Amino acid sequence: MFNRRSFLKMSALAASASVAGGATLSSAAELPIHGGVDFSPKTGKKREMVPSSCWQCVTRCPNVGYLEDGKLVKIEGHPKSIRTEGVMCAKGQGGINHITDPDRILYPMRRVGRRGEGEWKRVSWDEAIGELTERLKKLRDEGHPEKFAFHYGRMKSSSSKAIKAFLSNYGTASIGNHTSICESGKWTGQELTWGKHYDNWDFDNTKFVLNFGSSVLEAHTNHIPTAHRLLWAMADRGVRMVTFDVRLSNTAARSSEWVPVKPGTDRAVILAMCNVIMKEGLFKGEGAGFLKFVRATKNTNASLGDKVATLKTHLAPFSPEWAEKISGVPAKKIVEIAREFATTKPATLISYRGAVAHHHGADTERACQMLASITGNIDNPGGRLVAVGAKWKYPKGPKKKPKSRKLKIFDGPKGAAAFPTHHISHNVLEMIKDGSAGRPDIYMWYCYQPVYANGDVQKNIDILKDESLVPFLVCCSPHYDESAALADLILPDATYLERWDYEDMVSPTQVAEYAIRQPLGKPMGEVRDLSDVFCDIAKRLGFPLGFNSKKEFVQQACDMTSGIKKAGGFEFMRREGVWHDPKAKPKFYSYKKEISAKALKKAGVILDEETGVYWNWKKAKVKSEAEARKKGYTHTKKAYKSYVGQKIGDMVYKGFVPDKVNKTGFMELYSALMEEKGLNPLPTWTPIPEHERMTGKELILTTYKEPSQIHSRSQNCKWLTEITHENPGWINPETAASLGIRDGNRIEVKSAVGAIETTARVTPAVVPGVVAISHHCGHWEYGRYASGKRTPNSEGDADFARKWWQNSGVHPNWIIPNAPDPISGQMRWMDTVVKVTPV
Amino acid sequence: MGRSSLYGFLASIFRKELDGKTYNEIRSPEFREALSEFDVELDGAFIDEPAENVLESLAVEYAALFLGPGGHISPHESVQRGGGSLDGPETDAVKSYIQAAGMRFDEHDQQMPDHISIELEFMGHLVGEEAKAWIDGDSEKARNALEFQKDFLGKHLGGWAGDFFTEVTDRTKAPFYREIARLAADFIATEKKEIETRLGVQ
Repeated sequence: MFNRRSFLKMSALAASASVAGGATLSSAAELPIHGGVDFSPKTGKKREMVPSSCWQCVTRCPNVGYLEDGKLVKIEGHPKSIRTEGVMCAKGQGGINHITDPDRILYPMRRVGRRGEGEWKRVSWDEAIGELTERLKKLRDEGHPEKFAFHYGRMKSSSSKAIKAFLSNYGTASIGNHTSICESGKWTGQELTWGKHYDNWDFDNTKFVLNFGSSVLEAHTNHIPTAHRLLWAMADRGVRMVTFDVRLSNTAARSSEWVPVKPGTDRAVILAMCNVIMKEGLFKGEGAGFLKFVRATKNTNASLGDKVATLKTHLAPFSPEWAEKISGVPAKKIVEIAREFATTKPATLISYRGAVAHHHGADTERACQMLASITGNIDNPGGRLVAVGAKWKYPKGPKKKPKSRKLKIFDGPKGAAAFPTHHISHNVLEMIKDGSAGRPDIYMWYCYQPVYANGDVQKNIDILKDESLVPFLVCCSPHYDESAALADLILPDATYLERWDYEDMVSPTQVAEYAIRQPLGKPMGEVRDLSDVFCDIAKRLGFPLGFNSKKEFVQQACDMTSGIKKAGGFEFMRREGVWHDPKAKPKFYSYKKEISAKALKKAGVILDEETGVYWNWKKAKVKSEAEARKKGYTHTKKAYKSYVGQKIGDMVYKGFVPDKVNKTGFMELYSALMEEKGLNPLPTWTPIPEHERMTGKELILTTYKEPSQIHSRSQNCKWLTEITHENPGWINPETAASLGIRDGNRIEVKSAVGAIETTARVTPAVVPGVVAISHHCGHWEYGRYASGKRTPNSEGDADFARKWWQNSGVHPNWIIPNAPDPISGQMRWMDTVVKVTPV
Repeated sequence: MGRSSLYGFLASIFRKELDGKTYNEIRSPEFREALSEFDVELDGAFIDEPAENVLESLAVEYAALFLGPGGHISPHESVQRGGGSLDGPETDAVKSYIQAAGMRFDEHDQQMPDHISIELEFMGHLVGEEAKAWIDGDSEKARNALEFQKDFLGKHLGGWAGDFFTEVTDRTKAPFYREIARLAADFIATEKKEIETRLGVQ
């Protein structure tokens, strides 16, 4: 009765009627928004509020810091953010512990003894930068800048642009990331279908949510902006959410329905749902309408009838009964949910690592795209949307850049994956050991934990420890983690609460939000933002970047980005923290935009007859039009960068703009690129090889994230580790009984690459045949709270004395091999076969 | 070596790694004799080994003891006495105290106000003020400086320095730091008693 919709209706009626209220009061000032103001509980004094941005997880929510006498005392959500609407999670609030962590690194440190022995000496920044510069100069002078390999974990927005300005001007393209240990299978699946990766889920307008393997309420990459909207949708509008998951996660528990599914079999369920929808004609209406923009066959001029027939034929073997045998989900349930999803308009399909961090996980994402497409739930209000983020202008450094060189160590061994569009970072250390693609002389990592964050931890340690493989290891981190312990030089990074940035993360409203991060206090000790350090090194190497610090970079970006400039530029952003265009309308159906005749007549634009793609051969850097026509769009290297539009019938549309691969502008359910690699062009079922070989006594290890920790870099935050510090192995009672395991027993979990011990939690909240162990725990470095170690430093620590828990948990990555998905290279976190025995 | 000088000496030893100039001064016969008055005997290696080797190994030991990374002994009052956080309420309290006593911090110094060396240095200044007042015949100011010393020891340095230096004595592998930390622990303990006594007498 009292929901937001009913109040909106009442407001509309009352606005023009005599029932609008009396005339006693008139507005004297703007109503203050809730939040953004805070007072000291001790003195009553108003605290200084400084807007900034979080960095605990990749969501990067705008926040506000409250300062008392210049010191940060509290963090809250930014009340004016259209993304978060003032909401902030525990991780964001607990981030304050980073600054005052007594175990953090405050000075540049140089290894003294043998690598990994733990002997260090403080060096000045001048010495640290001097040594690094000298080594970089030597490599460049020898013509091998690529032997400087830079590997980041999270490096976004201005940090990414500023640091890459240095790397490109230095001349190395040996740059790694860590997307393959996150969700690259999802992104590759999207790049093969609708182009640019990242999907937004429109919970504000949806009527039904179908979830495959996303802990959206706990740990999503756009967590708070989406989670709080989803909860409103469920509470205010009664939106149903059905979650398919191996485990009764908090998200599954708060869903309308949890459907347990065997690990790695979501795709079988999705294909069966597609089968039901095509067979029963439920695609008709919005789904059929959307098929105009779908490539479902090799022929890009196929009629609707051809497309429907092809899909029906392809999906025919994937019956609900077939899927039941594979997934354990009753056929009846599959049919029921398929019908509900297809007939509730609009509906949104969400997916994440639970579904994609598997062998052929990228194909699961393609199957998700298929299910959303045939029901017409793509880029529509309430559906699965092409994400919208801020588009900053920024200083790009010197125009004349050297031609970069690259070590081919970032995509795994040859043939490891068909489309490693986000690289295979978990294979980098093994590639270095292998040496066939060359080895770096300097391996530097930033905001990354190569030892702890990848699988097969012992191997990572052994490789990094071996001084004969890489002579110089540089770590840039605010904290002494398991990887820093193996470095030769540690550069103490500023925490995110002590540095500048601009931010651009996706907005759930489809209207871009711009945000900045500014220091919430003076950086402690001698810590420095790596971007500032690179500014100095660039000067020493003789190529000043055009900005002297990250602050200057952000300042220039604020003054270069037109909307922000008009709003007041850098000073406005310092004061307000966030900005969005109040006149901007949410972006939906952007693929329907027609391309003008003028755009098609631009110099270099030609039609690729085979695919119907208009592309610009000049922009693609092909030598001549004749050569471009001969090679064609699909087989011209990086032609996607010159994509103009897609011919559909007599019209040319913007379509689904490609990125990373030369797909067409259709939503490609049929991928000719996959076909060329010997893979099924349409989403299909491929069993997970090691699961096929399992014996009766073996289990599948599945991992997950807890809501109050990020994967590797928050366990030093004592408030958060007090909440989450141990991780038992969840086992279904039926499975536990068959293995002689009782609740609370110590168990050994052993895989082909190692063994760990934990405590059994026998619970029906996980499917049979599985052991589920969360990430985050089992640190052996990272300070007293993460490792649980007492140190001389902690003897007088009153808070540490109050630490009531003894168990610091176990790290599952010791036993997970660094196996890539053969399609995307995604780390197959959820496929490991293990034996579980009582200790 | 007067009280003020001893505070200053200890502050310089624990402020940062030993540099060549300080090292040469310490190993001079005069300085060693002065230290021997406090029963501090520097080991043969410290005196006889090449300076470069001694300084390098002491720098490594300094990092292991006071900087980390890893399990070090935090030289900050806020970590040792308070809620285990850097830049905690104790840091502010020490800063306010020192400023209220008329001292100004070098704004370029990255050291936090509650670093052991800053608290030692401050005590040295108070002792210096007291000494100067006695010379000037200003007994009221001298007593005032003494009151300040008692108060600061009671509120800050004296509350944690003893345990801190004992911890250093127990854990260090370097005889140099062991000897100096032992000296510092004894000195602070003596100071607490002596200042009380003197204030009681006067």
